[in-house]
Amino acid sequence: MRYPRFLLISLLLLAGQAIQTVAPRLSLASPRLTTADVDRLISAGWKREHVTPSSPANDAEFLRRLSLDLRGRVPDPTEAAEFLAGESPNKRARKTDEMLQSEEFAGYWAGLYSQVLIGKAIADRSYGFYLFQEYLRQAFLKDKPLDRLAYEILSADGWIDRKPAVFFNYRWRDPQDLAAATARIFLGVQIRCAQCHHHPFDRWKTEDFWSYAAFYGRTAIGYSEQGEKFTDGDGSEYDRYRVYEEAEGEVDRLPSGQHPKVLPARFLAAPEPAVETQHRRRLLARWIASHQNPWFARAQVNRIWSHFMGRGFIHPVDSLTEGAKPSHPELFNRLVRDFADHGFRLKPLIRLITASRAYSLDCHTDGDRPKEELFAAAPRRRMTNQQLFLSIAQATGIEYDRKEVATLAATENSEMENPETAEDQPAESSTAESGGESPGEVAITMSETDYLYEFNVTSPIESVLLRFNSSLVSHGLLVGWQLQGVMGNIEKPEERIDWLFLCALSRYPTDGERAYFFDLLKDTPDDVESYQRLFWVLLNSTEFGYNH
Amino acid sequence: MPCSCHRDSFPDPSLEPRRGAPRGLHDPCGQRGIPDLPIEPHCGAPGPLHESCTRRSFLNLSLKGTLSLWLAGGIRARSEETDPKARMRSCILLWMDGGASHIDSFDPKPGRDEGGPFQAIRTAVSGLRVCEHLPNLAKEAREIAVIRSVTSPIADHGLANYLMHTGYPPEESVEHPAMGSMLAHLVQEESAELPPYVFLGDVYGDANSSRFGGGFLGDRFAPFTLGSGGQVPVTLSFPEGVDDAEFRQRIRWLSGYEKRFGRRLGDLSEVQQELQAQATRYLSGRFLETLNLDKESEALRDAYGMLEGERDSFGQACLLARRLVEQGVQFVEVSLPGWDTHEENFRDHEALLHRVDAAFSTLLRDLRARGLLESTLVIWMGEFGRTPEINENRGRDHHSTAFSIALAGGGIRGAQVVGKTDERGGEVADRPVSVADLFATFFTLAGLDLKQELYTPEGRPVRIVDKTGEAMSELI
Repeated sequence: MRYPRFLLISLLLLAGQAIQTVAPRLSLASPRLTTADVDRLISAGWKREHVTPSSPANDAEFLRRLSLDLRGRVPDPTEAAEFLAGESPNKRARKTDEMLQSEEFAGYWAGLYSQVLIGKAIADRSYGFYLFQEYLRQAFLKDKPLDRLAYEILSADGWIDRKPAVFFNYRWRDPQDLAAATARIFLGVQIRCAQCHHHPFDRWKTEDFWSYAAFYGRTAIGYSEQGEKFTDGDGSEYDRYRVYEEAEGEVDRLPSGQHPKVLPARFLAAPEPAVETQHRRRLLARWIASHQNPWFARAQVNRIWSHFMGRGFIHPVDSLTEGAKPSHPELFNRLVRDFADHGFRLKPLIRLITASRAYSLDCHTDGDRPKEELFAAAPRRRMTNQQLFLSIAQATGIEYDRKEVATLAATENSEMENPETAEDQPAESSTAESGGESPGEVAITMSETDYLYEFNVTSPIESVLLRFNSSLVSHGLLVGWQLQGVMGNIEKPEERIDWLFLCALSRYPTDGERAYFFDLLKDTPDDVESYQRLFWVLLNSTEFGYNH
Repeated sequence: MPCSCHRDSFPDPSLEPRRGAPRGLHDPCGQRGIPDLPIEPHCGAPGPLHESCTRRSFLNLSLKGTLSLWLAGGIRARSEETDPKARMRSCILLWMDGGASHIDSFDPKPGRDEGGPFQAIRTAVSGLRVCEHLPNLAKEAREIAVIRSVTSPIADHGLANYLMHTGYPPEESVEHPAMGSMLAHLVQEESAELPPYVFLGDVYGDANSSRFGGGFLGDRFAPFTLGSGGQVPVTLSFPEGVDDAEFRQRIRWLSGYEKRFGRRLGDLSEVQQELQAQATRYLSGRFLETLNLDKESEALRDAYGMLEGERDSFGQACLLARRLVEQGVQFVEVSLPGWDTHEENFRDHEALLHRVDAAFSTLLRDLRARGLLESTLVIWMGEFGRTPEINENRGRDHHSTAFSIALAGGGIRGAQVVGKTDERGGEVADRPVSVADLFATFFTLAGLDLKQELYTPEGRPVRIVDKTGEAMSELI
């Protein structure tokens, strides 16, 4: 057993809740859901709708998809070559495990989750944000149960440098923002609109919103009275702040109107107000992350499923309100129960999903695509900015500083606050001598800020321009170690073409593709510029820019 | 922070009839040719970008064959969709992010507690008074229509942002496109060398960036984003070691590859090739040239506003907006954050109003001097106004049931005030104007049929403007 300590804790937690609420339905012995169960329930939908699923994805497609979903980047060419050559029948499962255990997985998923939890706005970037992201990274590294993680984040009190989990409460701070954010993120329910007005068809009333927000009536942010600072690794100073619970305080709802101004704290959809305790926010945290909560596990499973499958059982992921009909009710319910009954753990759920037949289909390029909610073909998703950045760096052989890259996840689609800081560092801070013969000796350490700034784009046209002209692409072609290695170590043009395909597209070229490029290269077979051009074409191909 | 978006009822409409402000009776400031204006009249020919011509035409010529093959359907020409008589060709949205106080800008309430410390000043239009911190804009009042009776039910930043960018309140089942995206979609020109929709500013606030985006039209119609100071993206120039010839060669190899082998991902290749063709046009040099503010005189650049001894980035972005519409860009949003003044409302508003005053007034004069004001609608607005009540932190909170916006150019009738609020500035007292009415007015000015429908990917028709919206006849 890999994580006895955590399992023990979740056992105790579950046991405690079971005693508290006398809920005998919690059976830890419920059999685990298997991949075969998932496949059966998904294919039932295909049969019902008379849909023929797409063909199975080949190994190259599977590996690339898995790598992008778990690590945010394309596979190494060597890894791809080995995987394609491997004959073991369970090589896919083994590769999945290898990736799940990697530091890269934890770093990439910390980035994904911080984007969900904190949002994409640049104004929220700060040293506290980095600390929070590191906290998440540690959690994913250890596969901390997600109910535990949620409870910690929601209930956190303390100073930011001691308890980075407080960053979530610090970021949303106002009761109504905290209420809207926690309901959306942890419960998959949008209640924000009810803040101002009743929607005729929405189940949430303004009273629901404000009595939920009342749990945050005593959440406060304080700064050090002595003006204490805390410093990051580079010696920059930041104001020290903390989140704490005040002894009293209420949320003022409205300046006027027919409704009472202050409402008692009440859980969503609960008939009666909650029983008051010392620490109201902790009460809410316990309720949200509990096994009895009707939304928490569903929201988590739906979001994780949608990360791999392109959409949730309920779409969009934050519309879990009662009327919403999941595309596969039985499968959804069983996944949720399995997840909740077995410790709210992320990695087993990921193993289950990625081993399924639905995840392992190809992306169906002939004729009309079947309805997406049937999961009868792999989704074709445009790479996110972060995936594009990581994949170009990976494919070309550019070293980068991972801490900075992780922050890209949270700043995607937003602007850098201080573009001037980019000027503090030289664009090519330490270009190594390019005399080395073997790949690996030629590397540049990138001045991350420049690239981060470049890769904060919002529209696909900007993304196309990034692949045309960004410094990352340009540096990757000029000094990235992959192309240097190709020119230095491989003699034949055909084999060079093969390797560059593995770098960029994680597969070998077809005969036709090889011939196309061979023909273009025939007049200048040893000219590095021709290979730069070829590599540029692959990096700009439609295929490269999609997770498919 | 109280949320004040509840409204019991509209005030009694019989209180006071609206008085249309007299138009054009006298011109104390001189509408044209203010003496100190550092703007040279323009010859009228669009886009005098001579330096770029050689390179551009070279690239155009050489790529022509490739491009014409690349251009798939889907982009419709302006003439098919719009009323040819419409004067408005472009729109500049000056976005007051966070929500500017109407009382402390265009709807002053002097002599009352709610009015705060700012005085009201006279403008070039008799009967129209504005905040004392808008003196230069006051001189341009003949161009401006102030609507003091905008009313919306939403006082939450993210949701109100959505409403004021799309014209629709948020719905669970459909993500509406922003106005800029709709215009880009409806009237995009086929061979544009500049993007149809540009956003200048930093994206603040929460993650709801969809308010700027293409919504169900797809992110192809999302804005091209430039930083708040109009920073030029490095990707608009070729990197070191790549010249036109090399780029052309790369494109030739790429398009050959895509045409022959791109079917691996099905129809995505066509979409991608279209984007690549579009991006290639943006590299023709004209876009980059347009972003180069050094082409403008020092005096004009200064006139757009100074901040702590430097040129104000908001002003420079407004100047850039003018350069963009001059080159045919349909929609430019310039965002100015900082208006969410729950604390120290007056300190912060004074500073922001000075920036608006310089930039907005210079923009109007600059557009007029170049003959662009008639064809360019300038919208000054944010997501809502602010409360009449002044809170214990000398702040004002969110207030959406009555607030002001200002419009100029684009064929609207200036020199007037539409609607009014009650004496506190809390509720609409006359001529309530909904957000749908505003959008109906904008689209009518653009010559679009309000009944026109767009289709979601699921095939659901959605009108460009909510069907309750009525164009405001007093403005058109």
